[in-house]
Amino acid sequence: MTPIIDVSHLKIKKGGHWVHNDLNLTVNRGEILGIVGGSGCGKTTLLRAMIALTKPDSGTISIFNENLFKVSAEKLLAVQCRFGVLFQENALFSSLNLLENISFPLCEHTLLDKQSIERLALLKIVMTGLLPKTAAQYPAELSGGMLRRAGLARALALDPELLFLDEPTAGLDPVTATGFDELLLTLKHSMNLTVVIVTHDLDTLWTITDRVAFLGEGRVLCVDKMSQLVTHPHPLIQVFFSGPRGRRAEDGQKH
Amino acid sequence: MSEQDAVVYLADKRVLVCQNQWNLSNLPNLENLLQNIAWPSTGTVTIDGQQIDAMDSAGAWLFFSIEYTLAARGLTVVLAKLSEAQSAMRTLITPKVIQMTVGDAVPKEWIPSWLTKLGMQTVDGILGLTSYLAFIGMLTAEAIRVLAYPSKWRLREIANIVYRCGYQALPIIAMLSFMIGVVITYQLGLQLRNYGANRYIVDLLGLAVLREFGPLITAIMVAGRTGSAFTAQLGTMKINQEIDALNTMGVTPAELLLLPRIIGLFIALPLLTFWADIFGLLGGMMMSNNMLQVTWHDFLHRFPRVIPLKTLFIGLGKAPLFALVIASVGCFQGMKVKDNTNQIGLNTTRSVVLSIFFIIVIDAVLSILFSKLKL
Repeated sequence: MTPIIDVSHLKIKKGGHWVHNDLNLTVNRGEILGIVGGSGCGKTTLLRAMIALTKPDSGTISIFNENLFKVSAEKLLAVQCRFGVLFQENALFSSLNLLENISFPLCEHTLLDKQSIERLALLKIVMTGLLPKTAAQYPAELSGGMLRRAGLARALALDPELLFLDEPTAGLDPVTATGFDELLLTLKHSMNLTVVIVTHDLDTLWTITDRVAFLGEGRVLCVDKMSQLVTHPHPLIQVFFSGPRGRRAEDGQKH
Repeated sequence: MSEQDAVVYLADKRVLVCQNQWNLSNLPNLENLLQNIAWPSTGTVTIDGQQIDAMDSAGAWLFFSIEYTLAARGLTVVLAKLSEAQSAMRTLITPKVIQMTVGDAVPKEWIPSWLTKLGMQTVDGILGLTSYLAFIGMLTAEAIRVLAYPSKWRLREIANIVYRCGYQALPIIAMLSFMIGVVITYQLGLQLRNYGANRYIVDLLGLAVLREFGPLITAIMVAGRTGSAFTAQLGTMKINQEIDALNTMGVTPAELLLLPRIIGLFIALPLLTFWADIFGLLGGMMMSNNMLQVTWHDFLHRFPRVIPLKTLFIGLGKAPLFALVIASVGCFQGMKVKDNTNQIGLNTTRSVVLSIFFIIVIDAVLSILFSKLKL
């Protein structure tokens, strides 16, 4: 089976030093891949490169077998329509209400009439666990957890095969974060999604990921199941997972 | 694309056969086909989706909503065995989800009528005026409080504002007033030359530039350049919670941010106006020399005899008033920003429009006042 994302020999320079130096990573269809690493190790930079926002200095990134930085604009658009992105700050358009926010990709890339678009947008709102009446509200009127769900609803608007999430549970209370993790699992199973998730949240890593890639020293130090990853001898990985928080999250899994 | 066989109703067997692609791109076709089916009025209908090749959430929603709409008509609906992918979709698009999304479930935003809008705007205007007055009152109280503590006078901040709003604006103000001088002289000179009254350009230009154009052009330029910057800076700080942080550290925003801006502009604008007067006159002198045969020497010789010193002071005297309007409106609009980056843009526009509006209103009121006082 060919991987859905193939990053090979990626090099990115930022502010005079190499953030990524010969980074290789593959994502298989149907898995939830976590990306972790210390602050400033280039998790978000890698994510931005994967969604074609940052052009790498060298190396290739292929999604659905298309090299993102070589293909024509039309082909790139076709690839972009097949993935959804939830940004760290949700990036909902503040001048549009939720319904319009989620309708936006549908209006741009489908030929449906307005009524169908609105109903599909409403479906995505309800699917992500929000009440229908929030559809008429503006992002400024909603809480952090609701915004996150709305951002997810917009990322899912076009029924993507691939979903990128940047720190989805950051800044949420534990109950909301757990709810969000459960929602992600349900969506992943029913919509047959492949998910790439950048996160610091150890509970998320333990509960929902199939594999986790640990970034450090400009490359991927290890990609494995969480239970295997924590036993990796590399000092950076040991420091990351052996702190009190890491231990607690691990214990929480065993009980 | 229209596949007629994606939805087929077999009336004799009472079975609805769904097949092919049930996804987003095929949705209009499917909805169309579904609408043209003549449903029986009572009894049982079986929905068979086993032949569906591909189904996404949009297709699944349509598929499961058939069940809901038929049940609502009083029919008994039986779903044939679902495939694995379809049952997975079923866990996501539950009957409850369907119930919340079919029919006219899409909530509408409330759009007020024109009369309601007029009322709302009037109330907003009045409330805006009262909160502006409250803002001015707050500033005055703060100024009096700070006055007692020379350590809080923030001279460095004030100097910074004078530098950014005054010194750095010198080139643009010089160029603009020079060109205004040229334009006025050209237009007036054409008329004066007809009467051979070329030398009266000195009287006209002196009065026009010193009393009106110098202060007005400078104030309008500064409202666009500095007033907008005040609003945008303070608005961004408000959104970033920097203002809240200041408050918790026992430093009021008025003391550190607002008063220095107002005092700084209060100092800078009269100076800028004087600078604009010089260049306006220079522009006029150059044009008189070239077009009206009034030489530099003639101009400077006549100027002090026909233009009294009070003309200069009346012009310069307006500048501090304009400075107060620009700075207070700019700061007020900036501090009014809350919870939404959109508002920074809106309030910046409003700050410039209101400043220029009030500058011209004040200028007109002063003109009437001066004419009554025979100044």
